[in-house]
Amino acid sequence: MRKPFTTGDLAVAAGVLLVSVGQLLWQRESAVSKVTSATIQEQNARIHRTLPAAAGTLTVSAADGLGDLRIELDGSRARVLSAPCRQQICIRTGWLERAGEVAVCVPSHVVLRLHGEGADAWLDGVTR
Amino acid sequence: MITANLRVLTRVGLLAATALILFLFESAAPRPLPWMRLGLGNTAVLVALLLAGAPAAMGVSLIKILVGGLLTGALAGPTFAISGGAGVASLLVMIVLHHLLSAQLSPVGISVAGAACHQLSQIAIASVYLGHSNLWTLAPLFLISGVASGVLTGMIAYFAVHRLRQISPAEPAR
Repeated sequence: MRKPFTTGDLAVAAGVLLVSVGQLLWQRESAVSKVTSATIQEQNARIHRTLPAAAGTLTVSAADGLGDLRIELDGSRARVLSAPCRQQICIRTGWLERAGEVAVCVPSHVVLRLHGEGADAWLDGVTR
Repeated sequence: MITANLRVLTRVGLLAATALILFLFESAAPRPLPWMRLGLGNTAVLVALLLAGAPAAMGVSLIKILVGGLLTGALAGPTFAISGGAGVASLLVMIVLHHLLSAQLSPVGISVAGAACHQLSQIAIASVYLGHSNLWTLAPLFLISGVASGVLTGMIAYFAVHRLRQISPAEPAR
């Protein structure tokens, strides 16, 4: 067994960090456009709201009859206010403020995402 | 032969129990970031891999995933599929690296690679479960926290194995 922090170890860690920092910078670059809308993807539907016009709170139902999620739209930001899941990761993700950012509640089957104009289109271009 | 088997069985049992205790402790403890886990349970899996080989590590990992899921009430839920699938994927990566690159990598490197694979698998499985949602924007933060937790669990595993070998020097080196 080698002692910690061999050249190989550093190469693995540096490789992973480089990839993540690279993607992070690329995402920042791509998300310079201002936030124009938010989508909430439920199990069977996709709700689209224009920002900042749609400011306010909206309620969506979680999958499997878990309960309801409340989502707050405020100016050009959005967040999950309450959710029926156990770990509450979606709530603790906090405010989404840049185009392309997502908050996910896996047990509820709900994804909240911010969109901008043009520049972050690559995000949906990949999946549609 | 019987003694050797008994030794492996005892080790897997003890390490699986350790993995479960760490896993449960971590489920209850507050997280540094919402999506970040330190993966302390993985320390026991890594120790099993280094001390007793791939089959023992698989045993410890499966017991941790199944019994851990049962105890936290997540069994058969989506979060169970995500963490279980990611756990298996990261173990496979660690086994392959341990066998192919043990001359180049210490437990820290193996653990970092396993943690990175764990994080990417989680996103992949969640993306499939949620149906074509692009969740890859989360990848950089997941990976950076994975490197941090991978270094930590790798260090703990290294010192644990080092100490365990001092206690039972008769163990054939792997």
